Amino acid sequence: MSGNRTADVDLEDLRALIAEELELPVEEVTDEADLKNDLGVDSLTAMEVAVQLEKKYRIKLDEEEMKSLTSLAVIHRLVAAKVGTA
Amino acid sequence: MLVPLKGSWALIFGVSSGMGRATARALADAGCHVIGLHFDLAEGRQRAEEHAGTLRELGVEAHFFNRNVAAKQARAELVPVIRDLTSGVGPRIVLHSVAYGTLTSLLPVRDGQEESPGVSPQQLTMTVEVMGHSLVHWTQDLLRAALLPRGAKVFAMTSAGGNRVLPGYAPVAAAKATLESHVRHLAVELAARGVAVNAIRAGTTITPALRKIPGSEKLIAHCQDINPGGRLTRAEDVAEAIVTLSSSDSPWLTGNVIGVDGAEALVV
Repeated sequence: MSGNRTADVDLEDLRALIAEELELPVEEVTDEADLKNDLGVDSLTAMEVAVQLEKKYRIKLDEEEMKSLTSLAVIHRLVAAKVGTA
Repeated sequence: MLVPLKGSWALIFGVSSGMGRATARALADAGCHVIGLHFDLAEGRQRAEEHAGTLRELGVEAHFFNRNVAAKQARAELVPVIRDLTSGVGPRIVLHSVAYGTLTSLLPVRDGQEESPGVSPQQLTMTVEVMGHSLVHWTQDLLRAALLPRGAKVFAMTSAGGNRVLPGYAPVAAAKATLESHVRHLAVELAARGVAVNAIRAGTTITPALRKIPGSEKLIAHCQDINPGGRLTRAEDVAEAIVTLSSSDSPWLTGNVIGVDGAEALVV
């Protein structure tokens, strides 16, 4: 199989997952909103998001990757790359 | 009276590492089934599952859940599970051994080129919630579900850092001080129900949580030097103390902060 595997990870599904974990309306989770500074995500909530990402997309994240999850766009790129190589 | 632990249940918060992990093992060795909560990424989760497998090989049940101990949703989902697993009796032992918090100073500090901004309100609240208040939330929900039987023992892991000053430990120290206060109040409020509540103050023990504390190498070297027992505390020391204290059905030993440290705190 070839082609752009990012298609496997639907951006809107990801937005919904993050909004649910953050207990925020979906529209507040814009592509570029900074999770920490704009959406008030602390390390515990970031962990909640990371654990849900691992579960839903069957991927593995390490602590450094978790810390790099700064916005929906960044998360989408990382998850898509992980799913693509899984 | 001493009552065998065989066939009873333990509920352990923070089962995947350090004291929680060692205590799960020691209780399983004594024939106690284990329900464990932990909160880990994939690698830690895998290690936790392997640990659960090791416990099962000892002939007990072991059910581990990868959940945030401070989340209301986790309690809502898991209290019914605990009821089912324990056949409505509830755990005889509850251990709160949760290490998840922010390690930083209260005020901004400059260390060479690096500047730490000091703790944020959110970090402070999160740390005290997870490492302190979560004991109360779980106790409330277990009691409400009639899952804290007479003779049950509740233990909460504290540390000497709860009433001393270690650099970068301030939010966790606040959580430990809160936890010790909760232990005293819960002990009084649960006394008439025959449930004992104590804090265990372990000496400096090399655990993954200790390694994360800034300057922990210095602390380790210092405590190795001064501990009257001639060595650091091991997670197994704590596990053995908990097994011993849990083996009595008397609720009279309650409301204490019990040192398990080879008398380290007396000489620091």
